[in-house]
Amino acid sequence: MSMVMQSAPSAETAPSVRQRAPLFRLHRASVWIWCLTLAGISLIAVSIPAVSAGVSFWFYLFQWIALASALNLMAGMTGYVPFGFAAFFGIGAYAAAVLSQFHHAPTWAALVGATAAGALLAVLFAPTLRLRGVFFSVVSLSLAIVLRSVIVLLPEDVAGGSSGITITGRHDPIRLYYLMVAVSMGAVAIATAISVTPHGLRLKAIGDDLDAAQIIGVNAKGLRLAMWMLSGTIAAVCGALEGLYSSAIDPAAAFNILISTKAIIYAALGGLGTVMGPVVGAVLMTITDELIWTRFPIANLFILGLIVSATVLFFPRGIVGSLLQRHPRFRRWFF
Amino acid sequence: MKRRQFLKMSRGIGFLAVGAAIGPFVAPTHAQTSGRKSIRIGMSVASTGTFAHDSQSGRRAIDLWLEQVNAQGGLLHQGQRYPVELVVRDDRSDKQLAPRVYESLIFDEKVDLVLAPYGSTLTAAAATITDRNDIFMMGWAVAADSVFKQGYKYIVNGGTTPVSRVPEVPVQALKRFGGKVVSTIAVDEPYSDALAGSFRATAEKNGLAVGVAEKYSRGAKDFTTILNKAAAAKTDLLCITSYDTDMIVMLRQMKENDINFPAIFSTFSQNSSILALGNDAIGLWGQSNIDPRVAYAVNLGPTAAQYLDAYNTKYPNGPQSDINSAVAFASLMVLGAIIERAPSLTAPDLKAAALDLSGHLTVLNGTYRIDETGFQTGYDILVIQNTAKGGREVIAPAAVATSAPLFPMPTWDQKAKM
Repeated sequence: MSMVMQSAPSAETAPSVRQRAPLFRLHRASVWIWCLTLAGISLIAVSIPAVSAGVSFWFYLFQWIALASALNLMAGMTGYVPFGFAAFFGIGAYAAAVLSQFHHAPTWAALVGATAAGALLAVLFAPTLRLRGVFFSVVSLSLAIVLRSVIVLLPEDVAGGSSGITITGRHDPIRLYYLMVAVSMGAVAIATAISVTPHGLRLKAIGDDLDAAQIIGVNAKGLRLAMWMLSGTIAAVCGALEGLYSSAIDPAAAFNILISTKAIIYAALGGLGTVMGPVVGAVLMTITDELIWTRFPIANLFILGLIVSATVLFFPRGIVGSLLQRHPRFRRWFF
Repeated sequence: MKRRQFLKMSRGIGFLAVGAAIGPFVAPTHAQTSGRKSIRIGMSVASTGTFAHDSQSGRRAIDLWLEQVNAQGGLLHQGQRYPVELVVRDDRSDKQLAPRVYESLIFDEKVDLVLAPYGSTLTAAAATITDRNDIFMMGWAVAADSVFKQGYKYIVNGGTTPVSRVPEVPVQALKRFGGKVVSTIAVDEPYSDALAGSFRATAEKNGLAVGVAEKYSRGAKDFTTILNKAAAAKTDLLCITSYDTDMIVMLRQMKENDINFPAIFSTFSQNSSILALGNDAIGLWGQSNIDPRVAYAVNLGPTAAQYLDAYNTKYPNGPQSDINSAVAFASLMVLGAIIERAPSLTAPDLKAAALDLSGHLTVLNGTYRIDETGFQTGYDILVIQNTAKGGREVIAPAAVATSAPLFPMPTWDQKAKM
């Protein structure tokens, strides 16, 4: 491999994309720096329980990194914004809770079940990928609401009904924290791997112009489905871990629209369509939220809203996205 | 930018970022403070979201308790009076925020013990943190039984009548009045559904029949079908566990279709929005935890009437004390007694004191009694019935009733002539 890692223009890419390709060349060192950064974050994350008695802040920080990165796989890379993203989170939480509480499954089995449930739901919802733009967003949101209603209407001994499920078999929170770190870093690693391979360019082509991408031979259907399944499965595992961590699941919390909204906001503030953006967005917003929330008990949401609005006004493409737009030379280092 | 410059800059930024990011969020291990100057109690209140209104109702009563306790020099603990400090954080009614709130209270604020957040879901999420870190938690609005089946060691329900026990008084009253069939209509939300289920279970336990058990999604506006089904099942007591706005719609549709039931129970029957219906609200059964006319043999703190006087003095311009204010105040009265009795503020000592005092404290809403899990088995609700001209009477339990019930309640025609 040469010193310059290219996003490998292939026979499938259009001339227009081929002409733009040099802008998207990544310096090989930037990928290594990014991988080393992720390794460093993982090392720090692993050492947190040894130096801090509380891991909740970190647990949720890594959860939002995972969710923002998972959402970015779909919304950022293909341009499909799933407002019903919370459905995956909810189904994962419910699958893990049902297996753990009603079938006494150990943690690993509950997580396997949640992963399968997330993948299955992604397959069931796959026909919605035929829609585009706002229609897709609205339908995905509707399906999340329908799914929530189905869960509520199931018999209580199957899914807890409206009251939800309180998980009495207590799971080790530190182990769940480590698992969340692993899922989070895994989600970012997947996004990185996709971005630096030709698939990244193909996905960008789908996001820019679906019809054009299909005309030049990009397998848009297959790629979208793959991203949809990856995105949904990661969200389902996050839901499962969060459910086991908090030990209380109810339909309102598990299928809360805020799960979708926050994942979209965090990814967008960092930079939709970039790998680093969702990580930057999730980390900055979670830390900002924490600092504001502890210092301004009453006005914290108001201040947070102002910060989000200001960030969107000054960085309309997100922090990383706007940086790359204003300084294209950084594209060799930030992606 | 040259590669070497970039790498150098990245390294510097990296170190700075890691240091700055981690520093404030690494929580030192919790340790009980020595040289105590006060008793620090942590709690969360929702500034927004589903629980904001109820949570803030409780907060007002807690502030009243705090003012009264500190006016007398604080709580007597280990032979010395300590002022009580309340450390409050916002949980935004968010289940994901609750664990962070309670970690912050424990590790940053170094509270000695905590009050639970409002609601069972948030309480369960917070209890995973407090119990693991051996911090005593006093629940004041934790109605779900399931929280006490988790195996938590240090949580106690000091204020609320659990959802499984709410129906006992109205169902037994119905049986005493000669009723035989109980039906439920619930919106598909946690507390509502759980309460409806408890009504059915309690009815069956008391040898009564269950007519219909209907559930609807929030936003539904046409209830005539399910009301007719309930009437066809010869329902004697219709339990509507829903929102007051939905109940108003149901009452209107009952009136329009002349559907009558001998008794209708709802948590909201004494809400101002229901009472505003005038004669249409006559006969409805509701619940309360306190009534100024009901004076239990209180041996701790004020009676209900005295509490309401104090509350109205502190908050002359409202909002009025409600069910959440009353249970919050009651649980704080009990908590004060527990702190004064416990040899230390460690969770095991506080829990032991809570168990020792079980059955020995009668506060404004009845006798405090818990089992080993901290589940409340003492407080009974009061069944209140609306009467003509905006009046209200306590009709159950029989021992504290202020009037005989209107049973069956007046029909729509009779109400129109009252």
